[in-house]
Amino acid sequence: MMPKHLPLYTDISTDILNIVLRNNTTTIPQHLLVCGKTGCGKSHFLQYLAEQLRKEKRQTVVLSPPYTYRKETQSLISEVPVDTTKTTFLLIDDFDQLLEDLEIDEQYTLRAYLFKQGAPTLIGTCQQPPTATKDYKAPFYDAFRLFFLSPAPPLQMFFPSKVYGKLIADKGWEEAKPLIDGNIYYCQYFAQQYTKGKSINESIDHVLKENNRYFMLLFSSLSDSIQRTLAGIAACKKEATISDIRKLGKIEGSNVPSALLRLTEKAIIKQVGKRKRNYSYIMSDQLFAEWLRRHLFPSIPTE
Amino acid sequence: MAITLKIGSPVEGSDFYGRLHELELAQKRLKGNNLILAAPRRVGKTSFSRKMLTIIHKEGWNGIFINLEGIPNISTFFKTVYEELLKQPNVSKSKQVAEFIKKHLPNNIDLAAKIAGVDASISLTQSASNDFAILQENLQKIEEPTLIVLDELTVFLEKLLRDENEGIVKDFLGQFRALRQTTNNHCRWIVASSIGVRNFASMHNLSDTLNDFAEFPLGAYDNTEATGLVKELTKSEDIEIDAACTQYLLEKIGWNIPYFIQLMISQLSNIRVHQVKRQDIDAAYENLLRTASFETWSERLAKEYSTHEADARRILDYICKAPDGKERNDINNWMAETGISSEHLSTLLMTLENDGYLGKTGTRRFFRSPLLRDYWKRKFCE
Repeated sequence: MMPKHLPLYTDISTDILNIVLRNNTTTIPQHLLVCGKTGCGKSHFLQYLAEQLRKEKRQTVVLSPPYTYRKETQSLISEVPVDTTKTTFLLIDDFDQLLEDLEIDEQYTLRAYLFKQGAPTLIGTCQQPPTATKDYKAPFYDAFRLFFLSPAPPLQMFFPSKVYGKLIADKGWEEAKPLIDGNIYYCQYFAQQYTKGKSINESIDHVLKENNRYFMLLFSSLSDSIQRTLAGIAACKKEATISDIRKLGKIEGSNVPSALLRLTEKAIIKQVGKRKRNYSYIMSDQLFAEWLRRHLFPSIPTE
Repeated sequence: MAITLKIGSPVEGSDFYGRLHELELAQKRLKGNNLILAAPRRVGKTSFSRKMLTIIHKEGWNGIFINLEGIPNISTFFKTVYEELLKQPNVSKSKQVAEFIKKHLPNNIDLAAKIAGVDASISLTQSASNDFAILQENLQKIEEPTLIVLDELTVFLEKLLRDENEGIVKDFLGQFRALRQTTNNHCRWIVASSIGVRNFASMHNLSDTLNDFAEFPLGAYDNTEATGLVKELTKSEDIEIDAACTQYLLEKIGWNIPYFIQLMISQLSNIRVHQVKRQDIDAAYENLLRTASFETWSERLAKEYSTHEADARRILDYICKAPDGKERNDINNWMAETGISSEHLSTLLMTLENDGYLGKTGTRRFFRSPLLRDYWKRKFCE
């Protein structure tokens, strides 16, 4: 469920809506990419735009990851029902992931589809403009109008000052803080609950519940070996070396380095420097790590 | 009607601004030639060719636009030309052609579908030959002047090369040439291709298949048109800009193609300027530099230029110092001490042009993107 209002990005959403609502079915639409770092609220921002477009009675289709089945996603795109009287909107979360999975010919086909008269207007999100939009010889070179969302604001901005004072004095806050800090929507959900008088644990449970479906889909989109690698990192609860990951994820064989590479490319984990001459890894989203620990691999011991 | 600010998408109708001289010239050239629209990416080739179509439509020509990016094979190429031609009101009136095409086209589609998967490469090529023969025979019967615009021909040729082989590409270009020659009286072709189609043909020894095309270079706007576009776009974004600031903005961009003008105005719009001052233009430009990531341009030199990387960097370091670029003679002199041969230097300059680093006007080479030029200058030369 979406928060009732968005305290941030109001100017950008107004700008974007002004731009895309000018598109019509007799012209080639202006397509947009909304870029921002993990946690700045791209996905929720996209949902917010979808709500606004539906309020304008515009046909709006939202695609979210995981894009496991590339061909199915492609056919879904090409089968988007197009309103012949008003522009249809195609909102794609993590558009960079989708592009990354497409072969060069498929990217050209997608481009041909999007850049014709009356095509749906694409609004995509990504952490940064994907290579396919930056490389001079790539199909989507400089093809989008870009918007950048600023990083999440400081935590105290989400709470009335008295409530924030109570929170930081609350036992358990030190452990809960890393789970939500830096993610605008986790902070918003958490603050809504805590301000209503719920405890820290209850508030965290609420945020986890709200994101259950997303985490489930994301995790199930990964292959077995990548799931085990991720579970190993989550179970570690601190910076995990390859040997930690093997031990805690109960992994045998040599798949871990390639799984780590894939997870890093997808920004699900990040490298955090060296320990004992090996790189260490943590999950980019600590709430997702907590979800893994609580729900999927309770049998994996935590350090 | 106010012009709409668009970034990256081709513009049409009242959103198309300027290029009056080029449009007139292209019309004149089309009377006796087929044209290759030669320009780097983002100059506006697609918008220009679409504008050409609206102009010639008004003069009673048939005109079709085919984007070859989505065309999977040769057979579909010929089929698409048929189908688009059939949509033209004048062609539909030409009963003989319409009937012939209607009679033959469904069979060919069925045939292609039936044989696909058996020995696709051979069978589809045979089917393509049939489609080609039908199109060639009947295109001649069209009585009205007709303009066929093919966008992104090189993308299509590169796909053919990946999926098939050089022989198939050669056959296709040969058939395409025959098509142009036999329809010489009524049909004109414009090929727009962001990645140099001539370079592609030259690399594969196929230049003779395109030698009937006249090059039609599309460059930057002149100062009057660039000023006019700034005026229209700022008006549409509710921004006020005086003549001095307009000139400052255009100097800042250096190479006044519509894309960079649109990009700057969008930044001014993003930072919510109402009355533009010089510092707003500086801020908008810095924002663009900050949000674009140019590392890949440097990395690509290391990856793809191997032993020529140092020479390429030396050229770029030299050219980035001058916003309007450097003359070829000056580049020769600058590179003389490296011992590079003139022939090798020519090849390297051409590669840098094809890869999007440099643009060329006459004998002058310049950074195609002012943003890339400033990035390069700040990172490697200051």
